[in-house]
Amino acid sequence: MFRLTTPSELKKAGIVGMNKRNAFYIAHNNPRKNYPRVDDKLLTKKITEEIGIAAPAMIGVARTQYHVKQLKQFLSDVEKFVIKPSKGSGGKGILVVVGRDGEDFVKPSGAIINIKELQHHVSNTLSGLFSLGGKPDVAMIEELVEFSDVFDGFSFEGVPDVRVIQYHGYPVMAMTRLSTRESDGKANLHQGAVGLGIDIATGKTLKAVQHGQPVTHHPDTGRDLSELNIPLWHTLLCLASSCHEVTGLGYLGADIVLDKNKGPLLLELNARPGLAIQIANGVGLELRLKLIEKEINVQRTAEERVNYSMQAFC
Amino acid sequence: MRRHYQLYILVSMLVVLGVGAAAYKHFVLGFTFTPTNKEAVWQVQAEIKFEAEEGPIKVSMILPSSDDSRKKILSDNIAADYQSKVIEKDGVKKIIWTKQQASGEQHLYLRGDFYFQQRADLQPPKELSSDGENLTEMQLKAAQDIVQNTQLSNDSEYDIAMHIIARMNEENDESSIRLLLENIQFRREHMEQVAKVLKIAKIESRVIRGLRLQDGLTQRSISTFIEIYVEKQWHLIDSRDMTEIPTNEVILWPVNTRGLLDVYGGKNSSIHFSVLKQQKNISRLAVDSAKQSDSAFVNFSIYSLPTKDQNTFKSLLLIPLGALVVVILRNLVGLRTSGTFMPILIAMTFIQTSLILGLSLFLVVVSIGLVMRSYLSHLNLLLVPRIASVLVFVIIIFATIGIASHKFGWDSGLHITFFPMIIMSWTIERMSVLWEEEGPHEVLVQGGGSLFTASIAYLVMINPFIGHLTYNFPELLLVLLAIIILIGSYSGFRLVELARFEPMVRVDQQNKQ
Repeated sequence: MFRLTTPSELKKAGIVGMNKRNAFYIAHNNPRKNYPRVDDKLLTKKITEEIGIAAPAMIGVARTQYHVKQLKQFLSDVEKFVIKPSKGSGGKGILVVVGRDGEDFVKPSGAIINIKELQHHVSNTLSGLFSLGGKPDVAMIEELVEFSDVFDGFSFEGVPDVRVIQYHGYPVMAMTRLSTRESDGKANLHQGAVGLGIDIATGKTLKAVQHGQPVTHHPDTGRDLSELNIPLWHTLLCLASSCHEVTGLGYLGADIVLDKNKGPLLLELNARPGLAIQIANGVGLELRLKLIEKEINVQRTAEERVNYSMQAFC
Repeated sequence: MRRHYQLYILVSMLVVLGVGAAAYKHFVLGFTFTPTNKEAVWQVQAEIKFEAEEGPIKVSMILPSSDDSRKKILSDNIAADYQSKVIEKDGVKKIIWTKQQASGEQHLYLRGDFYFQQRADLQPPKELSSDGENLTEMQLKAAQDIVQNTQLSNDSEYDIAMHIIARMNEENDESSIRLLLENIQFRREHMEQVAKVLKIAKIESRVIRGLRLQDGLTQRSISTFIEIYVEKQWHLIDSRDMTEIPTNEVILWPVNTRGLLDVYGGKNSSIHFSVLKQQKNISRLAVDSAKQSDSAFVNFSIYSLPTKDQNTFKSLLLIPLGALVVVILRNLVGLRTSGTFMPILIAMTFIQTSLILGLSLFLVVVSIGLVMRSYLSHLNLLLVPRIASVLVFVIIIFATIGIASHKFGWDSGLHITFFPMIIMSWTIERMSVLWEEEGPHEVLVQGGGSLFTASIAYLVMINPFIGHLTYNFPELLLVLLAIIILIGSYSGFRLVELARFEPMVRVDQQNKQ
């Protein structure tokens, strides 16, 4: 089945295409010099921490092979943690440790690795095995997020994060991607994950799609997708919105997870967020972006911007 | 908006310049837009190189035969401060350059344009090969054996001759052949032995030297062919690939001449040829006449370069077309390719190998490479050593395919060397990473996209009309640039997005109903 529509139909629906996003929204609003602020996660962490944006706490950074030798000592009384490359892409090179077995480390799958294997992983990270273009990198060691149970039963594997797209600091659209058996636990929509549009005004499910077709229940767990209601929604949007000033990027995607105790935490930022969010929401971005464009010159705090969005996009 | 005005002004300037220059060439200088009324003209250039030894120098070179069927229409030599003259002795023409004093490396160029009329070729054999006189008794016996064997299994004279020539190639290990080819070093001597055996089979033949004409040859040496007279006709045979060379694709040197080049007062001399096929038409005449009248358009154009470099530019000028195809397919259609401009390089390879063969070779190399690379990923190597290992793999695959196909007698496998190795290695590396991260489906999408783009680019590049335009009107590149710039500012939907976002519009309509 291969059906085509016409450009005028898409325009009428206010859908933003790839060329428009690149030539217009990204090129005009995201100065290239600010890209490292989101592409280098360590830098993101540093600048967001300064203005008090909540994020998983940093335990340490391994910058040199000398640090790798000290890891055993350094991690001796840390029970759970995550090691990730600072310039990694697509979730590559992320090592999660959920507990200890004597001297050894337990992975979420139950597999056990020893300190030598862990050091090898960090050493590979430093020499650029996981970074874009193989550039030398540093390894960040972070606290493990205690995931909130709101997503229980909504995902086949792993815990989903919430993607909020914002324009000049105004949240314009949000979604979450639920992995399925078909998507092999990955959160990629074109591989068969379920995209769940989330209402900016309420934090409730707006609409769910898989392969572009509406669905009502999760294909593997059978849960009614309309029951999802993201708690602390206002706080979450404020967190996303406050990333605007510090990154200096006008068109920005923020990935946010929910911690059981600490609430919403910023996971990472993206200067070129994809357009699939329109499919998950069943709405085009164009109208919302045009509306925000009128507000660019109005001075507002992050909270005021969120309030504006929650009223405008209900 | 100001940015947009700038863009449109720039684009219109480019179009006006490009179209204007092309129109000037068409209307004033008489270039044609379509390749019509063409006659193939072969521009052959000989490059003679040697080191002078501080003293008087005399260089002589035998000129190729020129008769009614092979006509030289223009000859011209470039040799700084040399005196040159052409002498004719016993029907053999020689060009002689002299100079009183020279030192260091010397370059002499000789250029000739040849074209061929329909050949009515029924001349009887004039200069015949000698018969078996110089063969030893054992060689004579071996030769007779070969002839008898061959005559048993073949009927026509032509088949017998072809069979004998094929059988007497260098790689044949039969003891009788080895005996005949004993102490033979040069192809000329080899061919003479073949001629002697043919004579025993009562087939007239002669050894002749010539240059096979193929468009775009560079740095080529002269070859030795054998010409056989059977069924009242001469057939020129290239014994290396056992093909009969059409008379209009070769220039020949007079029979029974030795030593094409003589250099007195110099050492390490060498001679190489490059060949360019041109269409002799109104355009070409326009160039020649424009040169006479010192038109800047032509004097500062590609035509003023030596033939060898004209060839390079002929293919360089095609690259922008490939770039345009990539831009259209990526930004207007929305095809995903692996590596932005990799498809252009692949397309250039297809020009050398032909499309189907190129496609299959590409698929074979990449699939074998992927299998090998998947083993490497277990070793967790660092990036640069990993790519380097893949590169070594690629070379091994190239060599294996080349050797295997040669053994099976399928020589087109040797075309594999036209593929750019480094690009292939990167392609394999990217595809393999893609496979791990996104799954085989994405590899198929991007790999298919790349090959599709490459095929389209290839079809555009080999189009004779487009080739004629780019070569004769290089100023149209400005128009091409204008189109690319325009597409660069296009912010509308891509073709694939019409399908991607189609469900959203459909759902909207259902809701309304």
